[in-house]
Amino acid sequence: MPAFAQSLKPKLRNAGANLPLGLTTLILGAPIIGCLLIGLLAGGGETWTHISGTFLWSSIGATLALIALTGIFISLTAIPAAWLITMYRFPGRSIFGWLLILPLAAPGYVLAFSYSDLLGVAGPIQSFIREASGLSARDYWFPNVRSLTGCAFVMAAALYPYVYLTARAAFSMQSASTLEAATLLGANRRARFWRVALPAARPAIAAGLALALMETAADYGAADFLGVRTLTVSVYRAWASFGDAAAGARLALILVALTLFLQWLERWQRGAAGFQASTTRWRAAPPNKLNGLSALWASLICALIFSWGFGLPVTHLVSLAIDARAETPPIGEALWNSVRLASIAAALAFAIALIIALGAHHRQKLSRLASLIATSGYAMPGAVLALGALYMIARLPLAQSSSAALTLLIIVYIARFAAAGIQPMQAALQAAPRSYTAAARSLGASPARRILRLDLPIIAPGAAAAALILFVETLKELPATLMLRPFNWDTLAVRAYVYASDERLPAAALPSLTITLAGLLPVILLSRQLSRPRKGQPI
Amino acid sequence: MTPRHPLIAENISCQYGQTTIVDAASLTLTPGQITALLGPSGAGKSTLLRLFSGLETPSAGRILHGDTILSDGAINIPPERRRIGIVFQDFALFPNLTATENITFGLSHLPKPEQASLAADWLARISLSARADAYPHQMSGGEQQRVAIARALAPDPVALLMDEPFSGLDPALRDDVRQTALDAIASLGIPTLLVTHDAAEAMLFADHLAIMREGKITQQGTPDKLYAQPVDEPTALALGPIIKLTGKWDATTKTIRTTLGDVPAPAPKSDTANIGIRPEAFTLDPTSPVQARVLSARRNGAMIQLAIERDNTQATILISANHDIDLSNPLGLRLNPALAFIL
Repeated sequence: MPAFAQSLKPKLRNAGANLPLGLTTLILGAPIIGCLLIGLLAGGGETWTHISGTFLWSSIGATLALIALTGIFISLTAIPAAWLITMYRFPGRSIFGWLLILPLAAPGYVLAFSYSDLLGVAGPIQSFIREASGLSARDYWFPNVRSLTGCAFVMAAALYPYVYLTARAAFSMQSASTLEAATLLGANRRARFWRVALPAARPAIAAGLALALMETAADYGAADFLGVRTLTVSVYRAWASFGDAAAGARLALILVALTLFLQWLERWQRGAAGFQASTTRWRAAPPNKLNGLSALWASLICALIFSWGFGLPVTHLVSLAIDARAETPPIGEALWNSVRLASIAAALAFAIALIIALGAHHRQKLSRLASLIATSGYAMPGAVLALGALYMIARLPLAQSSSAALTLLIIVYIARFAAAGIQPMQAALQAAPRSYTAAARSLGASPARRILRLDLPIIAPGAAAAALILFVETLKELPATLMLRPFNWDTLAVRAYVYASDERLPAAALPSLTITLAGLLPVILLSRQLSRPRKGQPI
Repeated sequence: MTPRHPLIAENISCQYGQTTIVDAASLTLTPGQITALLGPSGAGKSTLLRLFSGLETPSAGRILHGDTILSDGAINIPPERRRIGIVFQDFALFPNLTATENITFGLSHLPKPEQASLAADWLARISLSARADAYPHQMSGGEQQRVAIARALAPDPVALLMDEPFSGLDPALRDDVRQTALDAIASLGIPTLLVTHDAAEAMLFADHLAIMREGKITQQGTPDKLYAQPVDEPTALALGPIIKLTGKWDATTKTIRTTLGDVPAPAPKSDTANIGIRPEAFTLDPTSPVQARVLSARRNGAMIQLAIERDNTQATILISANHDIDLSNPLGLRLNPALAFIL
C-alpha cells in the first residue's frame, strides 16, 4: 500500500467512529441549544414585561425557598438514617437498609397526590380527628399540604434517598481505624459523628444533595398540584396560558442558571479534597450492636422515615384505588401509550448512551463534548427542554402531526435522560482491566471484533441496569409529556396528573400506582447491587 | 515458526502537547535475548514499550522490525497488524472470557480444532490445564499472570513486550513464576522487552540492560558492564548503592588515590576526581596498606555489612566472611578496582 494511503486510513477510520458520535451530539444538543437561543434572542416581548412585573420575583423566591426547605428536610432525615444503618446493628436494620431506598420508585407528583388527600380536610386523618373530638373543620389547626412547606415535605420524601445512598456509601467507605483512632483520642459517639465521619462524608453528601435539589427545582407536577408557583411552574404557564414560548424560555434561563449554581456549589464543596482514598489498609467498621431503648429508637426512626417516603403515601394510594375500583376509568390505553413511548425512547437513549460510553472508552475526541451535553441535558428540567424542542421544530419545515409531536417528545426524553444510561455503562467498563483494549489490539482484533467480543459483553451488566433506568425515567416524566403530546394522547403520568388536577384523586390512584410499581423494578435491582459486596469494593 | 528479526527503535521521540515523554531513544531488541528497560516511574519506559507496539505514535524517529518499517513520519502500522505480544501490568485478561478463550483470542485466523489444541498445549505448558474453563476473577494473581503470558505467546508473535509483568505478584510467588516465564520466553528465540523498576530483577534476567531517565536512555549494555562501569551517578544509583569518595590523581602510578584504595584511571581534567565504589568491592587483606576502623558489623544475608572509618571518611561496605569481625582492631581492606569508577 502506498504511504499516503497508509496515513489516510486511520483518518477515515476516525471519521467512521466520529459520525455516530456527531449525530448523537446533535440530537442531544438540539433542545438545549433551542432553549438558550429562544430565551436570549426572542424572550423579551410583551408577555415578558408582564411576567417581570408580576410573578417573576415571587417565582424565584418560591423556588429558592422550596430548595432550602427541601434541603433541610432531606439532611435531617437521610444523614441520620444512613449513619444508623452503616454504624449500628438493631432490629430490622438489614430490611430498612433497602426499604429506605424505595421512595426512588415514586415520582414526587404521585406522593403529592397521595399526601394532599391523606392530610386534606376530607382525608382519613382529619376525618378521624373530627370524629374523635367532635370538632368541625374550622375549630382546629392542621398543617396544610398545599403550601410551600407542604411541597418541601413531599419533595424531601420523594428525594431523600439520593442523599441516603451517597451518605451511606461514604460512611461505609471510612476505615474502622480512623474511627478507632478518634475513639482513642477521646472522642465520644457524638464527636466521632460530628468531627470525624460527617466532615469526611461531606463531599458525597453534597453530591447527593445537589442532585436531589436539582430535581426539586425541576419538578413541575408536585409544585403545580400543591399550588407553589416555582420557576418551573411559571415556565409551563408562560407557554400554556400566555402561549408565549419565548417568554417561558427566558424564565427557563434563570432556572438553568440556578441549576448550574447548584452544580458549582457541589464542586466547590467537594473542593480539592475529592473522594477519600481507600488504602490497602482499609478495614470495614464493624457495626456496633445497640441495645434496649437505643435499639428501639433506631428502628423507630428508620420506620418513620420509610413510612414518610413510601409506606404511608403508597398504602393510601392502594386503599384509594381499591375503594374507587368501580368508578376508575380503564387505564389500558394510557398504559399502552406509556409503554410504547417509554420503550422506543429508552431504546434510542440506550443506543446513544452506548455510543457515548464506548466513544469515551476509546477516547474518541467528540465523546467528551457529547457526554458534557448529555450531562447538561440531565440537569435541565423537562419543561425547559420541551420549550427548546418546540422552538427548534417551529423553524424546521415539518408538518404539524401527531407523529411529529411524538418524535419531538422522544428527542426530548433522550436529551433529558441519556446521561442516566451512560453512567452504569461507564461503571461496567471501568471495572474491567484498564488495558484490555490495548491487549486485544496487540492480538490482532479488528475494531468490530473488539466491540462485539469484548466491549459489549463487558458492558452488558451495566447496560441492563441502564435500560431499566431509562425506561422508568421516561415513564415517570410529566412536564415535557404534557407540553408535547398530541391532543388527547395520554400516558399514565398525564392521566394521573389530569385526574388529580380535576380533584378526582381516587381515579388518579391507579395510574399513579402503576408508575410506582414500574419504578420499583430498577430500585430493587439497585438495592440488590448494593447488598452484594464486590471484590475490593467495600459497601 | 516465523523468522526472527530484531525489533529496533531509532532515535524515537514521543510528545504529549509540550511534554516530551520519550526523547530520541534508540534501543535494539535482539532475537533470543531479554532486554530489560529499567528506570523510575515516569521515566518513559512504558511509553517506549507502547511505541514499539504501535499503541503510541512517535513524533520523530523510526520503529523497525528487521528491515520493515513499522512507524516513521509517514507510515504507522497499527498494533493489530504488528503481531507483537504484550503482557500488561494489570494482566488485562478479558473478564468475560475463560482462560482458554483468552488464549485463543489471538488465534481467530486458525480453524477451531487447531485453536483448541494450541490452547490446550499452552495451558499444559503453564501448568493450568485444570483451570481451562475458569474466568479471570476465579483465578489467583499468579494464574492470571501465566494465562496473560500464554495469551501473548500463543499467536507466535514476532516479539514480546512485558510492562512490569511481575510487580503485581506476591513476592513469595514472584520468583517461581518469573523464572518459569522467562525460561519459556528465552526458548522461543524472539526479541523480548522487560520493562521494570526493580534493579535486581533487571540484572538477574536481562541479557541486555538499558537504563532510562527523563525520557532518555542514559546507558545500555550487559548488566555486568552497567553495574561496574556506569556513565554517571544517577545511572550508578539506579542499579544499587555506591560509596562516593574524592581522590587525587597520581601521575607516577597512573591511579586516583582515595582513602579506601587506588583506582587505575586515565588522567582526569583536574587534580582530583569523584570516585564511585560498589559496597562489595572490598576483600579482607591484613597486609593491605588500607587499615580501617570498624564501627559496627551486621550480617546482611550472605554478606556482612560493615560500617567503617578511615581518615574521617565513613562508608558502609559488604564483605564475604564466615567468621565474626573483631571490632577492637583495625581491618585491612583491599579494593577491587573493577567495581570502582569515575563519576
